[in-house]
Amino acid sequence: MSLAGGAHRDMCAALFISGGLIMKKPLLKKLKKYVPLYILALPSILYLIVNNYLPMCGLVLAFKQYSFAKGIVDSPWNGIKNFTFLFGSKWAGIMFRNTICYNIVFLVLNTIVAIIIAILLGEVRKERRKKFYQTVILVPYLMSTVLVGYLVFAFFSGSNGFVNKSILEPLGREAVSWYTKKEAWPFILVVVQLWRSFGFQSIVYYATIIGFDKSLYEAAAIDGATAGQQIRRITLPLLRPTVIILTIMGLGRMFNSDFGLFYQVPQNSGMLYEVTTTIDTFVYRTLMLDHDIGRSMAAGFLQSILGFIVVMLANTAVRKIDKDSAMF
Amino acid sequence: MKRKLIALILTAGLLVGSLSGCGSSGSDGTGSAQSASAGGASSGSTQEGAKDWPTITVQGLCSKDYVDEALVEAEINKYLESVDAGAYIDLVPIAIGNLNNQLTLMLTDNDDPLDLFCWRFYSTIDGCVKNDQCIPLDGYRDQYPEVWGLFNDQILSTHKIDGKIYGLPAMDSFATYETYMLRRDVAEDIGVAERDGEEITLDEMTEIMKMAKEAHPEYCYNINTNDDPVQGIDSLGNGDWIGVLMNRGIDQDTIVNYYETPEWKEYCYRTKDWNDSGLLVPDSLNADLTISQYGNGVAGGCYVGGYSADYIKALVAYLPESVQFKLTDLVGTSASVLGGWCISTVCKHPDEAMKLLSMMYTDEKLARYLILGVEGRNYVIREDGTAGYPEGITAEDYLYEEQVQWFWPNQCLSIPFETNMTTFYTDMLDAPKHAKFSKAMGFVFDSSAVYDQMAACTAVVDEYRKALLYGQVDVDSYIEKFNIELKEAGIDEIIAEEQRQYDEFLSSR
Repeated sequence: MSLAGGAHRDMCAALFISGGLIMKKPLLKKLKKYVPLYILALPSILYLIVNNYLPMCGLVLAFKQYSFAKGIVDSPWNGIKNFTFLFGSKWAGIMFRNTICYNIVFLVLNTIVAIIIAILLGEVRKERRKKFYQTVILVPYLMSTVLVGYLVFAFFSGSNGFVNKSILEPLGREAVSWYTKKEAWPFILVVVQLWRSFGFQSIVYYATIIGFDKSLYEAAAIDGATAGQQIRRITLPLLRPTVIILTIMGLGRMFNSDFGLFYQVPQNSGMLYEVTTTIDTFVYRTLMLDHDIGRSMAAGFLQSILGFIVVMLANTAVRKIDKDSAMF
Repeated sequence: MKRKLIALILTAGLLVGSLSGCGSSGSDGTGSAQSASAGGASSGSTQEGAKDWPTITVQGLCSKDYVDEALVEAEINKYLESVDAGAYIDLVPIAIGNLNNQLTLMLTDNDDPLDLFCWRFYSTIDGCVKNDQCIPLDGYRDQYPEVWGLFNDQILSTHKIDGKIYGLPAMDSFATYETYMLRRDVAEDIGVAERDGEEITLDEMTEIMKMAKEAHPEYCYNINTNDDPVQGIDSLGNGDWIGVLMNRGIDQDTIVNYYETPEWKEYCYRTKDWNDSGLLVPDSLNADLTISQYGNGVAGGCYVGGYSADYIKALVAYLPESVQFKLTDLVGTSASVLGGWCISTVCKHPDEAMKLLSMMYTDEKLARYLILGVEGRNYVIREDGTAGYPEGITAEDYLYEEQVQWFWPNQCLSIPFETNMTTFYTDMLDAPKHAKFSKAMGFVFDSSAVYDQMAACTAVVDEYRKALLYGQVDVDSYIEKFNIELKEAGIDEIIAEEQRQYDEFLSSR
């Protein structure tokens, strides 16, 4: 998820919230009052339509045998043939398992770590230190995945890696050929992912935390609440809506994976495929040479549809439990 | 008020900035084409007597944008007018890194079409035909017999799909053999330098490598072990070797699963031995496995292929001095045809495009412009008849892309560039006459009936092959697992289908 993506999510959330306010007033009044807001939102709405909705027409390609000569409309229909390559082999199980399991682990760990870091940031009193920490934790997030891949390689290279040379060797242990050891990679990937993304998420939570009403904490302190109690009884409950929204958003990307993380970081090492193949890397490897637009589209289509279903289910569940926290 | 005004101006500025930003990034794919066509048009229109001819866009290949595009285009178009060619050329140089995206976009672009393109590095001729990216050329055969006459039937048929010719091969030797190249200083130290050029077996090569390692342990002695000729297979154009002919396809009728053969097992034992003896690049699963490892002093030896001993010497002249031992015969397979030129389906003037394409194959002047640029500015002809950079100009100036002769339709119309090998192109033309050819030369497998199996098998090969090729795993157990998975993924169905098509191909010949 890019910075722009994050901003986009926040903007969506803002639109939903203002939408909720609007509904309570009669139509004309509401229109008049909010015209300036609509005008302000217009570029974003246009952007959403052009960037996010218009291209959806292209989804029809998932069911076509695309011909460069005939174009989108005139290419012949192909039924669901474009989808079959995803399901025909042992890879179907592997890639769906990996995509979903990694995403669940990432979602849970990222949220926990990000909240902890955000709370800790909130407790830092010296302004300059706070600024310093905020900047430093963002650095991994801004790094290119290719670079991250080589950093990981510097750790795990068989002949010159830090782990083999500086940890295992002094301990008298034998060097390990990490890029052939598939047991190790679920952990490596999770740590790398966490290291890369906790900074950005922490900042999002931190931004929410500094918005909380300070008087609540002051009152609690007067009543003798310890720092731990303040966090448990005030910060965490207040954070809940943000956590839910970010989680539901995350669920929408349940069937997508960070291509760089699963392709560049393990350096596309074949022996790790069982633990590194996700839908995206499988599609890339299979279609790389083919320029088969129909099949690529089919894979993307499937990911989006499944993601959409998960979001709807999650939101319904949230609405059942706590109506106010539901996104829509 | 003043503040508001400033805010307004800033907002307007931002809006304009962002919109123009969108515009430029959106048209990135065709940006260079537009500027190129602008250059072409201006060069055409500024000339006196510019004719009402169509402009044919021609793909070029470069490592980055070069300086003299407009100049070379103008010279070419001046020349085309002088011979009354009937069409102008608009060069569209595409950097190798952008090839995939830019070519895909341009081949769908009806408004600003790319007319002539080469599938090398982009796709295969089979893939281009399947995607409807190129048109059949058979109708032009009688009109341009001199172009068709450049190739023998076997080589031409590598571009024949469903009985129609969809492209013309880029001129090359169409056959190569492999050698093992060893640093001369190392070879001298272990006393094999005088055997330069001798033919050796893989056993002898292993022995030499081990001797070399003992004398100079600072090097490893092979880089890329993924080499079809050395393993003696004709991969039938499939880089994953799913269904191959043994003996490089010479007199072979039966397609086999290479991964089940004793030859594959033997090669894997060999690479395992190499790896265990420290002869392969360290971290070979992650390392760069190109000849640059030889150049930068990591490797002291590696495979290198070519069509003649002189050619190979010329090819590696920029590297530390070496001796070469011949490993295989000179053989041509479908894999030896590395590129071919097609007319795109979006082309609005196919007749004119074909005319220009035929000229690119037969007209020495036009070919030389495209390959080397403008004489005097981009290259000069030296006393020995070869070409080189003019004085004071180096490759770093990047005035024109002279280093991709092999990309253009007929490099043999050019002159050897920046090499002392005066017979560079004459030897190339001569090579096919001495070569043996795979029986499957020209056979193109249409895998669409077994697409899903192919996708699954490709993934299995990716998973297992590299570890075996670089001696990382136990050979017996890993090959067994490998084959079980290939069977589950459907390799037998693929080979059966391929054999059926191959039988048809053989009987139709």
